[in-house]
Amino acid sequence: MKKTYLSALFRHLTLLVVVLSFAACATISSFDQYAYAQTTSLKVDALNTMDLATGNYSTNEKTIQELQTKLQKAYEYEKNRPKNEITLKMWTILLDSNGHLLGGFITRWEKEQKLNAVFIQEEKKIVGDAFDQIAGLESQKIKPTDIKTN
Amino acid sequence: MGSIDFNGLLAGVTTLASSNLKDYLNEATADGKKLLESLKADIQIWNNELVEGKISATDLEFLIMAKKEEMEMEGLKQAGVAEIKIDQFKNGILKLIVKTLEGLT
Repeated sequence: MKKTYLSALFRHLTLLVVVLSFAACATISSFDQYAYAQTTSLKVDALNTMDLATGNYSTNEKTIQELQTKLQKAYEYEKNRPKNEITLKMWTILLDSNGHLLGGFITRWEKEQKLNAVFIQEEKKIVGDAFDQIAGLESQKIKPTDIKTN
Repeated sequence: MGSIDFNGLLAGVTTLASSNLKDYLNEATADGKKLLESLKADIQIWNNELVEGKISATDLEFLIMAKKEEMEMEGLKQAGVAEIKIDQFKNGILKLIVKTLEGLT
């Protein structure tokens, strides 16, 4: 009786060690509902702000600043998630002010004050797809509930 | 208490590995093809818009560079998906082991 109890205890302890070892060596961060919601919400804000680029940058400066603050907060959140290097690199490319996605678009808008409507629509498609890639990666990450063993 | 069926476990792990890899390759190939097709279509549209004077040469150059950066992001996304598949594989092995051990009780 005692032997059976000890062997069951040993087996459960072994299982616990295996579970903890696997959980400890996850390769990439797990799904984060807040990060996903934030990405999709910022996509809408960013595309709406880009529509304003047919007008003067200075006239829309307050809206642009508000968007940039939200983007910075999202970036900081992503930066502090463990094992999140890939998503962070994607955000870095999207927001790079010397690049050609959202960050670069805002830089160009500030420099030229107004942008061409057709160009804005084409650029919006690319920036929208870039947001979708970040959200798409997040949505494929393993949900914490799926890490259960049974 | 019975003994652990290591052959059964190995067969399970092999099935899990091949199905995971197959799914990943199918998804990555489909995403890559989709992006290349959209690049081809976009360049054609932008070229027409340039000829019609709807966008400038600077706009065109900016859009091409933006597309290049979007492709870099796609590469990163695929790298991320590969890592997710590795984690799913590890999780699958864990479930197999647990199931096998539970069968012994």
